[in-house]
Amino acid sequence: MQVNVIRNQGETLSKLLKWGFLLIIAIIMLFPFYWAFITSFKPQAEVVAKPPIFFPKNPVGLANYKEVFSRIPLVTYYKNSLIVAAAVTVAKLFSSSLAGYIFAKYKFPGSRFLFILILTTMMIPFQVIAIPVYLLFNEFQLLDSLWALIVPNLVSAFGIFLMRQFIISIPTELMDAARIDGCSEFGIYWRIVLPQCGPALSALGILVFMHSWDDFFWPILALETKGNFTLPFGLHTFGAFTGFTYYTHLLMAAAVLSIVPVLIFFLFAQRQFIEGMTMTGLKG
Amino acid sequence: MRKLSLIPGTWNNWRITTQSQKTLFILMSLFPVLALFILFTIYPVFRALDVSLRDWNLIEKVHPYNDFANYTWAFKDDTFWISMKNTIIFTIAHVSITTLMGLILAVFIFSLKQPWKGLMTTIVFLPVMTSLIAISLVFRDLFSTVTGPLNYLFRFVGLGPYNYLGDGTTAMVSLIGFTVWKGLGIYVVILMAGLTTIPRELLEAASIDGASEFQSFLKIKVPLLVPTLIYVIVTGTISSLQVFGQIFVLTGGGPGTATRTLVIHLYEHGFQFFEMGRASAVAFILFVLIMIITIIYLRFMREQFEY
Repeated sequence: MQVNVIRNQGETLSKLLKWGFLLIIAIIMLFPFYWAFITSFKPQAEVVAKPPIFFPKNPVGLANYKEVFSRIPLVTYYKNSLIVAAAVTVAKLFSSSLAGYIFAKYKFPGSRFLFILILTTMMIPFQVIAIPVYLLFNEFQLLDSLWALIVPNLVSAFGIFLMRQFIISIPTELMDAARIDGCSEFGIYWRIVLPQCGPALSALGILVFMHSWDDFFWPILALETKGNFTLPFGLHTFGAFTGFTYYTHLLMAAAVLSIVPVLIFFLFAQRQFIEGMTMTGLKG
Repeated sequence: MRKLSLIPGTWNNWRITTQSQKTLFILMSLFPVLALFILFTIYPVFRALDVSLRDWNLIEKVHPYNDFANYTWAFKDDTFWISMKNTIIFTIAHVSITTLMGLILAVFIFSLKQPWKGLMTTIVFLPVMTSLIAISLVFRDLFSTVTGPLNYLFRFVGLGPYNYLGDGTTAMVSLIGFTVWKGLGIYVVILMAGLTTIPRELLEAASIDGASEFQSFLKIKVPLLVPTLIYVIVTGTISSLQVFGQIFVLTGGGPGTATRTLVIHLYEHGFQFFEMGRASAVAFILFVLIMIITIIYLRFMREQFEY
């Protein structure tokens, strides 16, 4: 009996510690979001107040947000990011599923070599190819356009790998049956295989979209005029040139506008996103 | 010689699927994909090597070979070695802290019941889902000594006021702290996925035999998580070596060269001084570094790596 009592006390203490730790972590994770949110509603005077204000005393409603829109072409930034991310996602999903299907279900000389070649390109960090691609686009005068952001990103080695692993598990009999019914090779891909790839396509699509949306290094190299900027670049420019101390309230409003739509999207797509991330971590 | 397979058709009787139809499909599908890979991934690697061997300034028209001058410059340049040092410090600190915390959090969160489990997972994953630049700007304000709340909050736990981004050492610590905050969620999620592969019977048997939570953590969970841990450490290392966005926005490599990393160094020489040759050399050195790590990892995982 005594042993049980001691165990219970130990258990309660460790449970308390565990929950305490989790609570602290939760606060740390959430605090920056809270801070950005409330600061975006502060008048300029409250931003530099000491001690720092955690509940705005005179919230200005949406005035800061309106001012952000009048100072920077946020809508253009959003539009550019959306166009690029959507184009890149569609292209990568299509090319990855098509190539993944071929590597999964067709045998031909050199298929193994080609697949491994494609896989090895995953090891190449972007910074190495950034300069040559920059020089290439410079020579063709295609810099400073959305094309410069889209065209280098039409295929994905990771995507091909993922789709191949997934499609391998689709029964080949389905394809044979389609052939018997007179379906063309491309038709098999388009009508039979692709519809089966739902989960893999959405996981990959979310990953690709997020990666393109958030891309910063390549856009700051390739773009020059503000009208072509994507969201991260535009945001950074706003932060760099407005002397952040006195425009923090505006900057936070801009940041919130940047973060919130993505978060909402994420909360809806959360399960698939996490599935996608963990698919990369475990062998099929 | 064509291989024919005679397959009963529907209303048009015998339909012949020739090997050449398949071949055509394969060629037409793979050709554009391969062309894009070659154009934007494989060819650039070779071109990067070539550019790194020349005097290549964007303004000049001629780019003669310069006998590895860019590489000797890089290895003799103090700023290069400072960048290398900072990158390595950053990588080791970030990966070890995030892995350790990620492991502990993964085990804790994994043991929760719904809805707490899902809730904590979402909370921990939220920073991961946020746009890097946007949240970096938020942290720039948090770290600000003028407008930020951190010094005020830290006073309650007895920590002195810090000049987060303005002082050399604290700047690096702040950057590492931010990156840990941002990346923890992925580690937790991946490690939790690894935890699901541990058979429950094993853990139950251990607790029946009187093992404490801590013992079962140390002797069962951790050893079985080793492959996942290694994956997380290696991929974390590779991406940490390439860190750029948050440093660019938060400190620009400063103060001075305190937080300057390899990619910042590369960026400055390539796109502020337009010394493409030198930047390419730095990029290639980084590339080799990453290659070495990747190859070590792949050889280690060779038994588990199936084609």
